[in-house]
Amino acid sequence: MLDAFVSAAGYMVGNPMSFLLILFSVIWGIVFGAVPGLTGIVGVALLIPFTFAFDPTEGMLLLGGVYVGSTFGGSIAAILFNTPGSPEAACTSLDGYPMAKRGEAGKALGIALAASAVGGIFGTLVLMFAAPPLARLALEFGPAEYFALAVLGITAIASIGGGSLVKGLIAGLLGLAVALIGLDPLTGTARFTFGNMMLLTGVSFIAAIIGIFALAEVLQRFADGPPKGEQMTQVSTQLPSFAEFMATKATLLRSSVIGTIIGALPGVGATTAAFISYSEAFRWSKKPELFGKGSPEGIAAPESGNNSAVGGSMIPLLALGIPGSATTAVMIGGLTIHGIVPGPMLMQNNSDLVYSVFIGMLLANILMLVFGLRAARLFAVVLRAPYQLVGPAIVVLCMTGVFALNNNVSDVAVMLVFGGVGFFLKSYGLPVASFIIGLVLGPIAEVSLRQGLILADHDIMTLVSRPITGTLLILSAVSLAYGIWGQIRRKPPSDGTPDAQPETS
Amino acid sequence: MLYKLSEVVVFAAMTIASVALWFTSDALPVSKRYAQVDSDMWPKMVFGALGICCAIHLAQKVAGLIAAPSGGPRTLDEELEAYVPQGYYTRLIVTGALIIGYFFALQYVGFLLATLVFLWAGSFILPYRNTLAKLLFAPAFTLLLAAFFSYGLSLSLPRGTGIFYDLSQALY
Amino acid sequence: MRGIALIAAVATTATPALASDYPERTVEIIHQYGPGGGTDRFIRAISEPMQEATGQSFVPISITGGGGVPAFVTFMQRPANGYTLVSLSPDDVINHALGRIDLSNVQPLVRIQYDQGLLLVSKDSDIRSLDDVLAAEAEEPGGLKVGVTGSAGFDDALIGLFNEEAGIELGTVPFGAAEMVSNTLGGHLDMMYEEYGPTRGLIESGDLIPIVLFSDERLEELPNVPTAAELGYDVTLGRWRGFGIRPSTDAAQIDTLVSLFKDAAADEGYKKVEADSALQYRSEFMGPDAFKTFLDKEVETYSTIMNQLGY
Repeated sequence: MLDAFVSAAGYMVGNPMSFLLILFSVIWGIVFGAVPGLTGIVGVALLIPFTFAFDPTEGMLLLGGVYVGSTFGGSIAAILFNTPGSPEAACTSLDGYPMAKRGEAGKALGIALAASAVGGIFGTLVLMFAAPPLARLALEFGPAEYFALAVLGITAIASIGGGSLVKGLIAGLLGLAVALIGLDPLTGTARFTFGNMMLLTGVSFIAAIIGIFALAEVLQRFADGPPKGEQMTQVSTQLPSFAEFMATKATLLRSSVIGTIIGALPGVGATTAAFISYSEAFRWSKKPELFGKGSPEGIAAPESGNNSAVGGSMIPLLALGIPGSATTAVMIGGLTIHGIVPGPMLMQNNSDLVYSVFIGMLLANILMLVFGLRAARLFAVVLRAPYQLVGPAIVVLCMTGVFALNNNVSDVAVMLVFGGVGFFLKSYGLPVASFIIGLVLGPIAEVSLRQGLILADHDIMTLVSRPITGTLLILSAVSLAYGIWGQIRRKPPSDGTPDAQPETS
Repeated sequence: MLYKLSEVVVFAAMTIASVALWFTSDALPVSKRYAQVDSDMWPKMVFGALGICCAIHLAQKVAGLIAAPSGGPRTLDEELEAYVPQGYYTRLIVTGALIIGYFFALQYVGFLLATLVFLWAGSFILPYRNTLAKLLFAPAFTLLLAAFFSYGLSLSLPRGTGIFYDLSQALY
Repeated sequence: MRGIALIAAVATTATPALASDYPERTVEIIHQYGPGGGTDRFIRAISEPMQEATGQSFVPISITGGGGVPAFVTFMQRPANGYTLVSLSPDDVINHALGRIDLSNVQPLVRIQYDQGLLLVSKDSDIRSLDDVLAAEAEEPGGLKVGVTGSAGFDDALIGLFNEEAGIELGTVPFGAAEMVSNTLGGHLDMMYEEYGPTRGLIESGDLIPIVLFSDERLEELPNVPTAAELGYDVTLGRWRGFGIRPSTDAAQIDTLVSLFKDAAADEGYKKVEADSALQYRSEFMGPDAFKTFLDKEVETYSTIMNQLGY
């Protein structure tokens, strides 16, 4: 292993070109992540034809760099404009935007960037040293375990918005209901599509979150009238101090571990990792009341979670030849075009390639941190521009990006509808966070529950008595009970119905 | 007061919708092979729970209205909820209409023209002293974005139909 | 920049071309599978030589989900100007048979690949041959679960047909392609159905063991894997890949495309990609007329199968 590592390092040093490639690919990735609608998958897919010109190792370095960059890139737009550039950044909006709105955009971007780098490096190190055992652990996860994992995330909907229990549940269940639209993945029956053919594929998640976050925010800001000049004019580009960042270290570690494991599971990726990291950070936080209002932990958790999932999703790719996420599926296509057969033999037959990718991903994270910290201060300045001009520009960018994603007008229509939904949720104090968690985790929970039941011959006891499933479900039940108890204790029910103020996220 | 009434109406509507959608789920076609885990299993769970939660919330709201029909002492949160800036609904409707108009314009007249007009119109909803910046920003941003998408990323932009399609075709 | 591309396009197609200035820009090929999947890779591979010949790109546009219906609807919304193609496969035929889409709206262009599928088990499985499968099924009908991709699609139809032929009741559980493999390796599923190409790495490492092949003859790559036909079950259907275009497209453009595809399918580089996935055995190039006849027959076959399966 050390030999392979040294020989790969030798290759990298002997090819100064590869450093340039990594730098280019990270920037390319950040752009694709940051433009709303465009995602890392598109960024990787567009680069594949160019990898023909390079040898396979350089090609993989390029794709790995894009993957790393795009996962962070999404958080820039999420923090500055409440516009998640890619699905995995949706969670970062929840606390990043409120913090930027307070005038601390530089701090929010700095935390996001540093957390991304920490998560990314953690995930890559695990990939380097523990890929085979972790791949075996991932194989232990069948449908029953996926279901339990989704339930663990979903139980957070009741408490996460900081408002009333019932409102959290309503918002979360609305998210679950929206996720039902489309073709039933098991039976092929159309559900709640109301005869619309384009809805058969379900509500496009990226279009929905851009509508809920970005459009709803623009509508709100324009309806609220001219800014009183109190908030956005004072934009601090001050980066977080080291001490401020280290205050989130427990969150960083927990989220990185969660992210790596979830990333390693085929079929669920960075988005799920970000949300489960966020709900766990909330659950274990000493200051849960700050969540949704600009909590540093609320930024650090999803960003370290989704970036560590990048390394995690490379685990099944390199150890077994099966993709851990949609982006790695595209990378597999890139490998096969070069005549490399992805599979368990890859690590032995192409160890130079594999170890170069490891080193490349570490470098990509470091470069991202070094250049990103400088860029973050620049980006934060954008907020000084008047919202009268920025608001419409955000709308244009969202529409163009969502359209370009699939060349599909109906995705843009979905985004408009969800702009309305987001506005509605805000107006009635229904927490957006709960809604989105339901939307993300609903399909995983449903499909895996039904697959699990088929495999267990429809016996629910067989399903829940599996060790990992049982543990996760008990954990969910305990934390749900704990959350409800905490809420009852905090707000005695005697004073009627304590309502949350309208959500600002 | 108006807000509280609208809350009652909204949550009542959602309760009714949940029940209706529960029955819609019940009417989904039956699959022989997956009879025990059919298409309606999960939707029924979701809409059942949603209906119950909405009903509970509705009951709380109605109880609150009956207990204090004409406001009574309001908490700070409620004050915040009730606060509506002047001209709020006008601006909301104008902005919403403009965005929807832009959506249709994109399909008929293509990206360049639609975006230019939208950005100009959008910047005039809210007052801003620097008119020159408003006038210059729209064409600059439109061209920048068009160049970025169609040359930088080689992704296609909406081209419109008819004569506009041919026009767009020539430009990007 | 566009000007240069135009000149280049004119220059390369100036040689005896059928529609002299076509294609003068990017041609998009809509398909219903994920980016990086078999069809996506196939389109990228076949378009390589075509890009060299024309100087224009042929890019796959992936519109996933909804059983392939949204991809087809998107194709139908595009103008019939020769710049949008749609990929065709047995899944589209099944959608037609189930009344979800109408294939009479497509002019079949070319069929290029004809694949063959395998039933695979994990190396930790007790099942080692088709006899083991039959024995297990005799003991407990419906006890074995096969992982398939897609719902009510080609995989489902094939397993259904095999069940009929063998008189057994293998249950199918739809998964995403990656989860299907991990669930088979992890022992959650008893078997899975997949083509040779995507599983080659795991077969070579010995993690997945193929037990039966659905084809006319054994594969040179897997000489020890019997075909279903030689064991007495006449199931030889395979997944094929081709292209279609809107019927009102200019005939000269169609001729140009067909000859471009024909040359590309014979290209050395493409042939190598084909051989990597053992696709060379049954892939026989078909032009519009032969493909149309083939498609009509497929519609009949799958209508019967789907009927038998109770759809």
